[in-house]
Amino acid sequence: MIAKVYPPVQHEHTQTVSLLIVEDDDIDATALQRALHKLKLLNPLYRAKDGLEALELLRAGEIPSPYIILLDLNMPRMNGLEFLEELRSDPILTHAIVFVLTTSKSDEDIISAYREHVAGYLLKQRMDNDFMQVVGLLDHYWRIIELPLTM
Amino acid sequence: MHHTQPTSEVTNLSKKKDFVTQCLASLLFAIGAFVIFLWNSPTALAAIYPQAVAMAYNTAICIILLSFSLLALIYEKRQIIILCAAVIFLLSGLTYIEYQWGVSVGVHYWFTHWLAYSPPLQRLMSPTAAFCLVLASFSLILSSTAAPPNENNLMIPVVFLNFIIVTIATIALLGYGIGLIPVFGWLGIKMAPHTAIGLILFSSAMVFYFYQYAINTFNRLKFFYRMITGFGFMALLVIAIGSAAILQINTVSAITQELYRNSWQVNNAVLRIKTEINTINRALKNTAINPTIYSNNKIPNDIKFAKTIIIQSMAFIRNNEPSMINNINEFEINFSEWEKFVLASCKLLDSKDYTQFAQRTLYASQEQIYQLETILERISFHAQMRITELNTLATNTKNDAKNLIYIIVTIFFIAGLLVSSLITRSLTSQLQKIRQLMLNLADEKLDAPIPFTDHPQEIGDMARTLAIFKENITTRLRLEKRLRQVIESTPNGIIMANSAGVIEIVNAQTEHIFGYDRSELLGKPVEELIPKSAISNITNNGDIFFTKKAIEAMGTGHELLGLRRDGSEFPLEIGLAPIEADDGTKMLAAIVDITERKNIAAALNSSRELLELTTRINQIGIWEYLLESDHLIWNEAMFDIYGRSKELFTHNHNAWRQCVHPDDIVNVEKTFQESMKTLTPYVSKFRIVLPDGSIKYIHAKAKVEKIENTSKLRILGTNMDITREELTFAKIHELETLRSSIVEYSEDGIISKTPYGIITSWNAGATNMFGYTADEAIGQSISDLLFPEDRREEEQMLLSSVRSELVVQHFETIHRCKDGRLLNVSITLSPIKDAAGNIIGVSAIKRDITDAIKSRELLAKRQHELEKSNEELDRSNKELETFAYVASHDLKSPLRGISQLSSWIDEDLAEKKYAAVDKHTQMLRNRIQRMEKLLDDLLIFYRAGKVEGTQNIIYLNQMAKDIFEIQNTKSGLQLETAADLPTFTTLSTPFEQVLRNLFSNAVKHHDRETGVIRLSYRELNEYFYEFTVCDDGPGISEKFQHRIFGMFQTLKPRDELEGSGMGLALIKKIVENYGGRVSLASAGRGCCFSFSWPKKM
Repeated sequence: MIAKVYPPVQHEHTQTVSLLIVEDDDIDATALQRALHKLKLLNPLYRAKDGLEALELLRAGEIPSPYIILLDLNMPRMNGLEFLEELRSDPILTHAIVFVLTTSKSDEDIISAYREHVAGYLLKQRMDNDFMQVVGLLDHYWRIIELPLTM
Repeated sequence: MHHTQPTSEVTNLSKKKDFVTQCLASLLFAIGAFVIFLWNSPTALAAIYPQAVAMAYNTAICIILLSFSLLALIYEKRQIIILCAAVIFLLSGLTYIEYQWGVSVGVHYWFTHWLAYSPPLQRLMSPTAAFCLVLASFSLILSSTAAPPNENNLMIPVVFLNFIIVTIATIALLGYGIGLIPVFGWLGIKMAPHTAIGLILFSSAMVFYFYQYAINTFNRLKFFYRMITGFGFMALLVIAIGSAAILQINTVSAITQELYRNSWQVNNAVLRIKTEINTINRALKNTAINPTIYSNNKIPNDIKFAKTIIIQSMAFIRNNEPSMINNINEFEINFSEWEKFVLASCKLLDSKDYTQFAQRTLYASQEQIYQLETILERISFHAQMRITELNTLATNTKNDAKNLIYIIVTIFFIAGLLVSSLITRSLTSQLQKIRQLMLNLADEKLDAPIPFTDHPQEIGDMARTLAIFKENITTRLRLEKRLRQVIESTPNGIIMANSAGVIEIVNAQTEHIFGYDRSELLGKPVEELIPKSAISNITNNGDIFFTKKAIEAMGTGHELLGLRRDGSEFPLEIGLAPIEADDGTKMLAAIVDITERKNIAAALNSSRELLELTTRINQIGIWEYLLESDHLIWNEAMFDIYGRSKELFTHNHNAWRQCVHPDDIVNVEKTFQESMKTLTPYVSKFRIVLPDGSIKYIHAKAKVEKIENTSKLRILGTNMDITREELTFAKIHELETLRSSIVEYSEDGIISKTPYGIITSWNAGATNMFGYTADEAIGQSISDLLFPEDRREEEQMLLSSVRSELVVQHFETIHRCKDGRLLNVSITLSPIKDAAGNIIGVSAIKRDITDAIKSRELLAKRQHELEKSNEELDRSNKELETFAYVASHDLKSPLRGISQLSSWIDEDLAEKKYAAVDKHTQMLRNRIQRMEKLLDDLLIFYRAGKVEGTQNIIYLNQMAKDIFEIQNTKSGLQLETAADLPTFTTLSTPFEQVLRNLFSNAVKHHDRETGVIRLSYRELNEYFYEFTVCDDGPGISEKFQHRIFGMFQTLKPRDELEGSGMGLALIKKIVENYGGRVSLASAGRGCCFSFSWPKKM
């Protein structure tokens, strides 16, 4: 399993925020990677192909803290909402910051997601093709917002 | 009722008795038959043969006959009894005669003669047995006339005879068993023990059978005869026992006789011989010592004399002891030798040869004498032995005689007790009963029946005398009762008091009048019935005149008065009469309570006053019309009714006519004239007009009569104001008309019936509805008329609930019309009550609800259809929602991918980074294909709901193989099909699609080089097959199983395994569309998809 997909070299000295993208679609994952690259951001990017894989990564401590999770909803095996439920019921992982990044505009999904205390609900189709806005948003977010470090 | 109980008891008893007797008879028969059998085949039971045939052949025959006669006794076959008894008597009697008188008729060999071979042992019937059998035959002959139903006095000797047989047989048995009387045997011949047992059995059975009858018969004998019978029995007993004693004495005397006749005499004879021989011997010895004393011929003479004596003695011995004959002969030989020797010796004396003589005498002769003495000793010893033997026998016999005496005393004692107690009991119990009866009669208890009235003798006389007593008492009691009834039922109160004024007799009416209970009055002074005010005038002198005075005192003043228990006084009438009785003069008073009479007089007066008042209040006008004088007399009420004043009214017929309503006057007048002409009572109804113009209805009645002794007519009548009733009636009539028109023209059938369902009214609606006219229906039972057979009990149920005052509403059932049509009706029932609230009928309203039911059913059907289409709508809505949802993600996502990829390619081309371009172009194409596939599958999915295509025969085995061939992309995978896959007709297209998708799924997800996919099936139930496709691929973990049938659900990212995620959703939709079910079973590796499919579309 190659969880870490970006950047190619780890800069040990920088204490930066890690990103975990949970996404079954290769293209979307690639798009995020390209966006990070374009903005010359060196935050480590990890990818899980579905909720189950993401949980395994998190529980194995593969993702260095602090981290932000970008979560797709419609996925095989374990979908995003199921993942969120599992995450929030885990005493260690419950504090994780999660942004939902999905194509689903359904109110039901939005409400369900916020019920699980997501930090934001982003629609893929509203973002530009390369997720530049997403990465920009996250860049600002982690610069300004204090993240829980106890994780 | 009273007689059944004892009768059945008697029947039970006699049944029991019969049973026991039968058993004994069978036992008896068995004994006899056994002995006969052994006589006939001595070898069969050789070991016990000698003991068994101790019973003579004839005895055995007699025993069998005895058993027959017992059975004959039970079944009342008199001839058989007599026949058996005769044979027994012949056999035993002849035997007895043979023994007793020595006549030989060879009766013993009559039957043994016929045996197959001559028996090794010959036995004769013992004289005792013969005697007993003779007695038995007597008892049988007697019993043949004495047996029930005759039950005559001969039963007593029957029982006695059998008692004797039992006694003799018991003594014989005791002789064997205990040895009390060891030599008991008549003429020395003993009875066999089993003969004794047989006789005991027989006699016991007879005694058992006849005992109760005998006792009953005995109880009917005269006292004197009972005593005689008792003593006779005892005498017989004593004779029997005495005979035994006599036998014993005979035995002893026989022994003694023998003792003296033989043995002692023999002994004496021997002694005599010895003496003679010794005398000669001494003479010889003396001569030998001193020959001088020898005188010529003395010794030979002595010898001659001795020889005579010896010969006599020997002859005696020979006669009496025949067993000694050898010794006697030997002695005689020796003696004659010795005689010759001595005579020879004497010759020597004659020749003076003394030495020689002495030699012979002292030696040789002594030798011979010793020989002779030895022989004599032997005879003597024998005789002495015999003496000792007889002595012992005599002693034993003496002891036996002693024992016998004990037995005699004991038996006599027991028998005496028994007989005397029987006689005493027989007498005392009867006398006791008679005494009890006398006591009962004395107490006037007449219920108990009088026993013994059928007895011929003393007791019977007593009983019959008592019966006469009883009759007298009954008559007296009946008379007394009748007298008491007369006194009791007299309407007057009757009191009898003695001279001291104490009440002795009262009757029920007295109790009633004075309010006392009888027990409270009897023995009380008569003053208690007199008011205190009246009694103060008189004093108790203790004579009859006091009583008279006391009773007369009731009448002090103008009215006679009595005093009741509750202290109230009442008027009375009294009649007095003195009666002279044995114990003094009595005063008899008859009392009548005249309260009622007085009350009636008073009531008459007041009722007259009341009448006037009532007529006034009730507006009953009374009038009198004297035709001759045309005078009309009205009472006050008439004026009230007519609203006329007495002063202004002209009191004649015409004045009245003017009051009458003009429309009615003609009729009224006509009726009036008619009743006057015929002198019949007059009744009429008319209206009058009051002065204020209002109208009243009048009901008039009148009687026309002639005034006595004249030809004048007088009419006396009443007028009653019935305006209110008339108006009410009119109203009722109106309502009734309304009601009946409602009933008659109602569409509903309105029926009334009795509380038990007989129709009493029937309206037009009912006729229309059911086809029966009112005439046909009324009087019929409604359940027979309208209810179909299987629903008749419903009517009963309905009627019973109405009878319990329940109202039945809208009860729905089915009725049969006249033409047989069945109608759905709704029934409403309510009770019809009379004024008192009793249910006198039931009203039933029946409504034809056939149409209503039809429309109700239609409505339900429509509703069901609506619900179904609603469900359909719901489902397709849900599908639509799902579609919208998945379309927003799954259909857009390839599009977005395409857009992204194309922009990346642009960017990369612009930046001249060609490395990724190829990959991206590839991905671009892939996304386009995925899009196409999704759209295709979506189309298939939405079409799946529609039933289309044709039904074909599916050869499943072949079809599965074909599909698998097409779907299989991996060469290592193989299909296994169950051998029994069915061939059936169905819509082949959807079925094929399901199968294809399952195969393709199994193949696509298989993760190994080789594998097996299996298709099997089973019959789920009568409507469905169930097919199962199993693979040995990776399996599906349990937590995903619930998702796999969803739309666009995949278990792997599409980038890894291309697939629309529609396959299983499609299967589910197709299968459920045809009413089937899809299910998944997977644990660990491998998974099985099962789906059910209808057998017939």
